[in-house]
Amino acid sequence: MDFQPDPGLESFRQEVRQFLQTKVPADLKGLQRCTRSPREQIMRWQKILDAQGWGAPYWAKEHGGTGWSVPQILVFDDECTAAGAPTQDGFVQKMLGPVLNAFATPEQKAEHMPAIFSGERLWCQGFSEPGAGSDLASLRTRAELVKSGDGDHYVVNGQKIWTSYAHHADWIFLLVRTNPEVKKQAGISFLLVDMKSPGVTVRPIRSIDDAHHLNETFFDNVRVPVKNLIGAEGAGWGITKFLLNNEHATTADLPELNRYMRELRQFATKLRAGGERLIDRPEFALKLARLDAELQAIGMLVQRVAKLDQEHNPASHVLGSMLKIRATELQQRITETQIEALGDYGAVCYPHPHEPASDQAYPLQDLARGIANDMFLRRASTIYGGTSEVQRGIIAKMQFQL
Amino acid sequence: MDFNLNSEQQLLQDSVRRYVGKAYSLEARTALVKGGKGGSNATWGSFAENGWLMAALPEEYGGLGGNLIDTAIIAQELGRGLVLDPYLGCAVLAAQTMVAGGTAAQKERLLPQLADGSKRIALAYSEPESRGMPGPVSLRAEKQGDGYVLQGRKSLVLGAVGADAFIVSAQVTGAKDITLLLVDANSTGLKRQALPLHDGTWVEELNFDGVQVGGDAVLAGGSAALKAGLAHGIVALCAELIGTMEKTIEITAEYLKTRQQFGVPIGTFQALQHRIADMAAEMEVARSMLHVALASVENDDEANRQKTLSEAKMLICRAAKFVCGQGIQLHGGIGMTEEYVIGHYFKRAIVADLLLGSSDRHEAACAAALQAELRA
Repeated sequence: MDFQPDPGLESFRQEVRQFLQTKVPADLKGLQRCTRSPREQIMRWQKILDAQGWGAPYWAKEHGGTGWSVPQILVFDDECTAAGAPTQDGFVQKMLGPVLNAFATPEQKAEHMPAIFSGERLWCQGFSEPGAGSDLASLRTRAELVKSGDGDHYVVNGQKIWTSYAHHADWIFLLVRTNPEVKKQAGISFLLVDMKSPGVTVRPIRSIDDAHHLNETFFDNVRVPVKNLIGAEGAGWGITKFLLNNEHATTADLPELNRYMRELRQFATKLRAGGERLIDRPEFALKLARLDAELQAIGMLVQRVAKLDQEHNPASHVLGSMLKIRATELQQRITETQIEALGDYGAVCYPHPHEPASDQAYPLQDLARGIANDMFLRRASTIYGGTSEVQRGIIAKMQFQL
Repeated sequence: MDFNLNSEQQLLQDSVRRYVGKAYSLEARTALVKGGKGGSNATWGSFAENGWLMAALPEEYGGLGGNLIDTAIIAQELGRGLVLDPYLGCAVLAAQTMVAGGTAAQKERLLPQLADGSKRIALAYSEPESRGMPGPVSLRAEKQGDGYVLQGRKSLVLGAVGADAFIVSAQVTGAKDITLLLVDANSTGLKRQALPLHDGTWVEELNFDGVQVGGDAVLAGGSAALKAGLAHGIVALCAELIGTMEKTIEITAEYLKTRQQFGVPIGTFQALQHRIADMAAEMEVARSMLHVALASVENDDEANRQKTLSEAKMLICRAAKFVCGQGIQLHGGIGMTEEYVIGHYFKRAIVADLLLGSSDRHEAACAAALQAELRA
């Protein structure tokens, strides 16, 4: 063990900070993030990053990525969040991209890679179904192979749900059942589908954070060329496991956690109660101290998982599950404390930061807008990516053989 | 940063774990608890022979020149075995306060004897009102000739039973900083009363009624040296609790696999699977906090270091109480029996939380540090 800071990491941080200060247009800085930026911001930001050679910050050099170490990636994400830069398209950067790098044919790469780097094609993820959430293997959306003169294709029928940002996406990566006869896991395939294909319908689901991220997506006799199949038919389960096992360290969303804590500290000095600043009130200072300590510990746990990820150590699965449980609970606790810090204004339903402001100014809106949206949205953190209960099951099974 | 043990650290861990596994069976430990006032001279001798007492002492004074990580590795293994010997009180708190604050002459004379186990000193800094924090200090030291006369009381001195001398924090009239003084254990006017703790260890209450020391008893460092000693102590105690949690979880997991109820091992019940998963997650968050503390001691300035140590103390102590408490819960009735080991881990967690400043005291210190930082 050795706790000397990683050499070069601080100068890397300065390099990223310098880039964000000098090369990012003013209107793309200091933005309200709320997990994902609007489509046009993502696309502009991707072009800026690509011009810098940072179009794929999470990938190895051989795939056209930056080749950054996991600690460097964490620094990059943290600085971008702190600067309020737009988000990237996480679905393609963190999920589909690594899959294409590992499993796609040269033709498939030629089709999709340029658009990933230029940011001109946004993606969404079609995994969950009404009857297949955590039990993904029981998915029912069917894809039947049809041989025809104008090219073999699949005909897709079924429904996906919780498809985040399907209404912004150009393409979707989809898990489908290609063979109902074999063992559940063996009959699943991984397809790429153009959202403009006839028969694709997206219907919005408004979530409790008063925003539209979620959708239901319907497939009604959608024709998908067979060249859009990734890997072999029936190989979808293995590919999905590969995809979900990437980057355990990022499940904590540490940059967002750090942002919430910065905001909370700001509230502590700006907001007053009973004639004094919040920070001068012992009960608030104690609460802040408790959250601060836990954030320190979670930050270090992220570093530990990052090292295991980097060494491809299977221990990252169990530790990653623990991190997922604890970091997402902390997200909820810090955002709830933010709401409480606002006092009774915490109860006000401010307009969503990604939607037009009302003509009339709301009291405290400079501080408070978006805070409740984040808090409500974070109720999803302990559900998506494998619920906390599923994670506990993984720990019990993998670490304790129960 | 590197979270893996290097080969020397691995050797150290293996050797302590092997020794503890052999020497500290529950039966052996129970006999020690019944037979004496914590630990035994034989095991202390083995600690010395194996080099653990000298591991983190400077080479020029008979040590091996190791660092706080070595201390943490040793302490963690002692925590796994619920070892009673006063490693924390003598080898860490007192020895490191001497390293940080002793005069050259004191260090030359004492540290080699601490390193080889032939002498023990203990750190007498806590008072009924300071409750394990370094201040306020009400024990008075009045100047007399080139020495001092001590009047007052120190409470709950770790490792005091069997100690040859004490490092005592005192307030000299008119002085700004506190003064650290080396006091012989057999001094005239020093009354000692041994008290048993829940975890089978013993401490002493010390009453100083006109105890005289010479000018050479004064350490060179004051509160800064005491804080340095306490920093080592807090890290050691935190590391010990990581070991305590580890072992609690291992024992409990084994029990879940063997204990049958309703015709199946109780580990097949999801409620219990989730409980032990939460215990493990709690421990890994706590272990990460220990790493934060180790990194902070190495890299941070004094103010940040103190805040981080307080954060570590409160977070890890609370985690240990939770994990060890749940250890009893998952064992059911058997967890309540004195003859079964799991309850003793909980007792250690309860005691550790109260020593060196309770979670509440340290949380308040963190809150005060945050207030100072944010008001600035």
